[in-house]
Amino acid sequence: MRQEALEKLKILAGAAKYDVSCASSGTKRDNPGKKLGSAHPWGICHSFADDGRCISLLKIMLTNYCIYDCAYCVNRRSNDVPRTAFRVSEIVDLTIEFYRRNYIEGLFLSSGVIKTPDFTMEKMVRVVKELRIIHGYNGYIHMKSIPGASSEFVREAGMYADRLSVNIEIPTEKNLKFLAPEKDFKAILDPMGYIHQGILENKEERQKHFKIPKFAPAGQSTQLIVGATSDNDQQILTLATNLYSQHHLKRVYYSGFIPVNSYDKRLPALMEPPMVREHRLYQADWLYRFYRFKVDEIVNDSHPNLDLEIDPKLSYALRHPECFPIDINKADYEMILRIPGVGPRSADMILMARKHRRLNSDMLRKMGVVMKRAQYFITCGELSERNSIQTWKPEGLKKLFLEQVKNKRLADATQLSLW
Amino acid sequence: MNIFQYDKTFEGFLSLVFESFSLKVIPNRIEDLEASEPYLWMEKYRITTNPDKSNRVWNALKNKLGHEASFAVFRIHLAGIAEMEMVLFRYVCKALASKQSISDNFADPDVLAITKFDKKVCREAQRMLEFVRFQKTGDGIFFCSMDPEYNILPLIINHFETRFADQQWLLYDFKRNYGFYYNLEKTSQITMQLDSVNKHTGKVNKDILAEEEVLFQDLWKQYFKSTCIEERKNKCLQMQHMPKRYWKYLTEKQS
Ligand code: SF4
Repeated sequence: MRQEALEKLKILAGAAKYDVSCASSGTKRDNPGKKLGSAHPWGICHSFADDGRCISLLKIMLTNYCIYDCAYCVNRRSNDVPRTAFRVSEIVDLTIEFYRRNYIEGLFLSSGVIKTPDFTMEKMVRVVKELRIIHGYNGYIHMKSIPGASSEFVREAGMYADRLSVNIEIPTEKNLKFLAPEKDFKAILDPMGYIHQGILENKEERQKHFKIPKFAPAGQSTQLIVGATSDNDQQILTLATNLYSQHHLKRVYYSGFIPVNSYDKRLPALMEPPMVREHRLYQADWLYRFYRFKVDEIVNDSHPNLDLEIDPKLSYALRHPECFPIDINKADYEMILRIPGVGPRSADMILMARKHRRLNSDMLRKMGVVMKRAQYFITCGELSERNSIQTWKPEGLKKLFLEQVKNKRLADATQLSLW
Repeated sequence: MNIFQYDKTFEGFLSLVFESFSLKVIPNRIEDLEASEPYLWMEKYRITTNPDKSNRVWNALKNKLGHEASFAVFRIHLAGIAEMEMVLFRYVCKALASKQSISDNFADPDVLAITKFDKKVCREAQRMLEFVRFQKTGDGIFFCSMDPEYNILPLIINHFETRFADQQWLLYDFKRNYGFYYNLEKTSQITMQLDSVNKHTGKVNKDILAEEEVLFQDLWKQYFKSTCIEERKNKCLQMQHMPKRYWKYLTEKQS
């Protein structure tokens, strides 16, 4: 029994790990019934795997059997890999026992497609229902919705899960059909629509009857694979921002393509996953969500791909020298947020602190502004226009910054070798 | 030079602020009542903790700073780092003397130091929420021992009470030799001998563990391994989020 349990967990955690989302945020739940579990609005990470990714949820598949044959997926039916399936009670036990030991914030349940999307969904729903109803479990649950699932099961899942997600994976429909012939955008966008609808209706009902439980209180998310197809960053970010604004997604995750099925010639031959590009996409996503950038300020027809050498905020600043330097003591919040080297936290601090006195560069540094960057984009007390981007010119600054990065890498490398 | 000595409680600290105001004497050093022999040229003040006086200071402080920032004062004092006491003292005095709240005047070095230190304390408390690993004992108690850098245990009890309301648990700070035990009804502070716990690993002796405990520890270790994507290995990033000094208590990091 022991060996069997370990083996199953190994297979079904290994099969689920390519889903990058591990967030446990977005829900607040106390535990009034004095049972097991609570949820924190900001989420808690419990460990970090050797790949540096946060482990917050027990991320497993119900089964890795699958009737589909998506080219980018380890679990595709034409792959010869060990297959197995959990019983409902096994997942329930694992979740609860891990939770009691404070290993995890909750469960992230996904699955390969067995028989039909609805047949699979029904089983998954049974897991989350049993956790909530029979065991009074109050911790976090993220459940994947299977593409092509009907509204009935999606609706039921939303009554028990905190977050639902349907993965788009491939950013354009043409390429999706090329790599995953059994899928199309409709099969993905429909369940997304059911979730969105469920959330909206639930909001209305709750205005009338406060007691009605929330539907998918942590909202929905999706994942896009980056680098498996020729889709550019403009296509990816336009799709992502549309999902944010139209389907009210909480998060879009970007996952650098890992060539798990290198024998499939429809896929590009990559030496390693495009980690830098993935990172730049996350940065761009942040600019959209927290720095009030519009998507076409980040990527557009004349600049369809993010610069891999420098971050998108710096890239924006260098493409728009006419906006800088910015007077730290006067400029409004939106502009301060656009200064390279200033984050939302230091922007807040600047706004508060300048009510008390005029700020100089030393104070800015102490507030966490990265002056090595910011100095060329601001004026304040002793920093004048003379040292700014106006004198240096964008090309000059880019060279300077790249030089700085290179030197830092060298220094880090020497330090490491001294160890 | 003036030395103020007090009993190290938060009420004591507030009383100390009160005395300093009423005596119009500012301490150059603050220390424990039982601290070392004072030097000859130092004036020594022994502060008696007085609930009345401490309440007056506390209310004034809450008035000036608001709930968040005044609670930070409590938190920083609780952390128990001697070097921060003078900074905290100056901060409190400035807060009381100023017309508006000083908590966002980050250009003031004391305000900035307090803000930064507070962040560290909160971070450490947060890390305990993340890295606590309970081991279930034969009598059904979920146990975890730890040695946080600051004294933060009282700050996190609430979280565990809410979350693990239907299981008995015991969190123990063995650096400061005290802990909290929850018995399904209430939580009480306790001090105990930790004979069956390895101080270096936090591991509970096998003979008093629950029967199924080792299995779940092994399953967790298996999960930890299987969820990692080999192609993305990044030990530096892992270390950054999960500094080495916590590893010794993490089940998944023990062989
Ligand atoms: S449906 Fe999901 S599990 Fe099945 S092959 Fe496609 S991506 Fe993989």
